Amino acid sequence: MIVEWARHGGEDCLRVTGLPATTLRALRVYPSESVDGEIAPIQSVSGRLVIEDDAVCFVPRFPFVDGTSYTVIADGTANDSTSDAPAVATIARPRVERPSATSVVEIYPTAPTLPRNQLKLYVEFSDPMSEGVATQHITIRRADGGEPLPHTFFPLDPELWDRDRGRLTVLFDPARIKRGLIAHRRQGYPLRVGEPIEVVIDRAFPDAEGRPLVRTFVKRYDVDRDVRERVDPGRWKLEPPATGTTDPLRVEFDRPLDHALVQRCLSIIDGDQHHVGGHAFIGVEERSWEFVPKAPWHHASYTLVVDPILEDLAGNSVTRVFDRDLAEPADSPTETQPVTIEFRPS
Amino acid sequence: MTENGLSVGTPDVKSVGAIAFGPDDVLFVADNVTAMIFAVDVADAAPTGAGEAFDVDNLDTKLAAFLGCNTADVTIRDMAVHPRTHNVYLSVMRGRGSTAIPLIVKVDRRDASFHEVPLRDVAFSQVAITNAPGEDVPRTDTQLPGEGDSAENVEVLDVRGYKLRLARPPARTATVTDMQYVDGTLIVAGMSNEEFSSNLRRIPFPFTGNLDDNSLEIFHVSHGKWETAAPIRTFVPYEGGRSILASYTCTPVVHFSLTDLTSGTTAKVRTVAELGPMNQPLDIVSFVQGGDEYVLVANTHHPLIKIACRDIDAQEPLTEPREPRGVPREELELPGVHRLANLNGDHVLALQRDESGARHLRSLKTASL
Repeated sequence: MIVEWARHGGEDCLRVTGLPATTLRALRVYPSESVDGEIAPIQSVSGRLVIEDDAVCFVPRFPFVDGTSYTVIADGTANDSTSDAPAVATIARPRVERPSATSVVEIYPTAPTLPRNQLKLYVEFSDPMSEGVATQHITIRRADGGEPLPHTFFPLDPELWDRDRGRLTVLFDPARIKRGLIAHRRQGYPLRVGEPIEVVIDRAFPDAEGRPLVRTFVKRYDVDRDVRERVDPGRWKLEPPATGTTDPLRVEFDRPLDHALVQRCLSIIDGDQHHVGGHAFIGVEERSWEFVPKAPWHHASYTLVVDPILEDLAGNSVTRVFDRDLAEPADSPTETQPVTIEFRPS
Repeated sequence: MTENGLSVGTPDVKSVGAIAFGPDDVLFVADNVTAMIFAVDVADAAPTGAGEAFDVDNLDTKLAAFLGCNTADVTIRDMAVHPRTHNVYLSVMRGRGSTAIPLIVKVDRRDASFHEVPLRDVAFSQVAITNAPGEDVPRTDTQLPGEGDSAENVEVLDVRGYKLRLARPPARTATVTDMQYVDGTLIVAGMSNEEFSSNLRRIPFPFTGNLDDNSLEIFHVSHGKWETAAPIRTFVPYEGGRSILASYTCTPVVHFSLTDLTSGTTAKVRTVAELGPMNQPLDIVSFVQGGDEYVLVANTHHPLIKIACRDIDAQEPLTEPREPRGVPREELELPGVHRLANLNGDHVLALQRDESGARHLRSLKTASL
């Protein structure tokens, strides 16, 4: 029996020759891994057999996987005609090694310091990534000495990717951050004030094409005290632009905010309640936001609209403290309506 | 249009996650890439099942062989049992990255054979579980280079010879963590990849396309002192769907009744247990033993936990952080169980991983649990 890679009707197939015509239809294909062990006879690879003269082609239902070895078994025949044993042949699908091209663009927050109750990180890649292996490739360790910090990140299954698989959301274990829970009481916060950490995205993290990253990415953070207050847009500083220009409206936050939510939670409307077209820039360390209108500002009243789901680094939103202390009146939730701040170009 | 509002066509399934059976042959399939839930008619013509056990050794090896790949290339995302035929349905991703293929695989309980459930030219309907980013959200300067920018999402602005790449924020995705069908309503628990919230949606089925006012934020109180929200990881309806037992990513187990959820956009629920540190609940199932209803909770680290529903109903809200942690429970020595489903009245079906990492389907006799 001779087995080789071939094509049939535009699809990859396994072409088998050297079998008696009567046995061509008795061909079965397995991933070699599945017939190596002591596993009872199992269902073979889903696909169809196509007879071509003296050869038979096995066309799989799902494409062969590069780097995987396949075993072909032909019942009713044998390599040695004196035996009743089936003919067996093994063939490996070549693996195409391609150079790395994908890298980590940024880890958010970009600020050098996290609050002890930091809730999440965003890891932004230059290209789409493979799903389901993040916990193996994203680790956190002490910056001094490199000692790993286990049980710090929440093991997500399913993982939280954006639609393009280019940005991954990584959560710190919320059970260790929330006051009162057993995990918090027994293990304490995942981070400690004054003990810097490093987040490591290792090079072996496969991108969507199965290639490793260009390089390992390490980001260091210092750790400061908790943040446990609602996000209060009333404390932001607005620098109104000049009338008749397209200068930016600049908004300075009172603390760094969640990078992803800043992008979607802020918008500008004019006096007629129409959205003002333009584009936005997120400032250094996610501490500010600038909005440049497409058309020059009028000498009129505008409103900055804040979606109340906007969160800071510790998951406190405009309406709620992440874990609200019921005995603390300042923690009481606010209305879930958008917050509006009026301004008038100078 | 067929029964249940389904039409024949090809659903654009990009990934498969949580699955759950609805009425008749309808299987709900959550797609976390497109943030859609598909209702697919699986047209399972097998005879009605009885009370037999059903076990499959080395499920992952056999499934990988059927799919023509190694076990490392197979991800079993969820498991559901057809309520009438008792055939087992698995949502499976074959491969990773750009070559990943989403599949629903049926395991025939009569001979343990595998069958691909057709997702082309089938009766289906769909509902979106997240809203596309609004046109009024300003584009933001993006650092992302590369060909991805040719998408309609990116606009290049020339500012004094310097090119700025402006993109709408990536669509906020809603990942379904669990879903269950109760009397004309699909209840969906999910988490966002951006804001941290506890979101439970009630979606009427047949789907109407109208998702207004179906989203509910659920708060729970930790030991009478702190009120928080967190995504629900897994939940189970019991008492004929009147009650729900849910577990959060941060481990408290809460009880609420469906009537608690009928109005408003927020609800406060009763914390009845805490499952403890370094442990995540993975799946919950309810079953009847000796005329009484119980739930089984599968965990990442703790053994399988059995709780009597009458104890849940009698449990006062947890207000003090001291042992025992709420509702009485029994631990069953069945390590490695990470998915559960009702096989039939006599058995609960468990997907169990052994010490070598191999996975098996095991029928657990409800009378001896």
